[in-house]
Amino acid sequence: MTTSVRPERYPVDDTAAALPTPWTLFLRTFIPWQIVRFAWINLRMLRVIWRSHRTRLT
Amino acid sequence: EAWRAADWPHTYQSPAFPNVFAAGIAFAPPHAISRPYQTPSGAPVAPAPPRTGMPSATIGKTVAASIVDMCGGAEAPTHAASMAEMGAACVASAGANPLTGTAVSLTVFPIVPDFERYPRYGRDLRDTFGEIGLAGHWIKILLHHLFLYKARLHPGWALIPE
Repeated sequence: MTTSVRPERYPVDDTAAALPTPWTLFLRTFIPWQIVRFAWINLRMLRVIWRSHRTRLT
Repeated sequence: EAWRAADWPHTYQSPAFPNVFAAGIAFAPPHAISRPYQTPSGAPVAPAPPRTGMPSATIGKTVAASIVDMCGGAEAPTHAASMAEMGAACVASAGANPLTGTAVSLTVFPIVPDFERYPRYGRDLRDTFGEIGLAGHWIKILLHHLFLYKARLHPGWALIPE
């Protein structure tokens, strides 16, 4: 008999989809808020790019 | 599910031929990266990691840097870019109009889940997110022009990240 010591992967039910509220739908096309999100998403992506480009072996 | 993030290749050098590298979609993924499912009609859904786009570009740059160093005398690859240590950003847009279009923007880190570093979800949730909205569409337009600029090798092209 084999036993697993690993934690269960994906313990959350990820098959259910959350529906957006009317307010969320409004914000998705509300220009002032989207300008803020544009800047924020760009920064988030730059951070991921920065973390992924340190490739030299030491 | 008995796989580890360390299974994934680091240098993309062929174990049989040291002067052969397999970058981007050329290398064989060692395994799926999440639980396989079936559709109601029985079609298998076997999740494989995306190896195009940002991962391919990062791997290509890494392999090129290693080849340059090996041409200069290094005996082994000097750069590594495992997909288990690399993140990715993706924007999927819909619509061409900058005011009515929309997009989903997402990042994941790392691409291949690493349950030893991040036991709960396999990923760093600070750098794993997704969002729908017009801003993503603008980012897609920006990337479109940036990558064309880079492909044409205009001044400063190397400063534009993959």
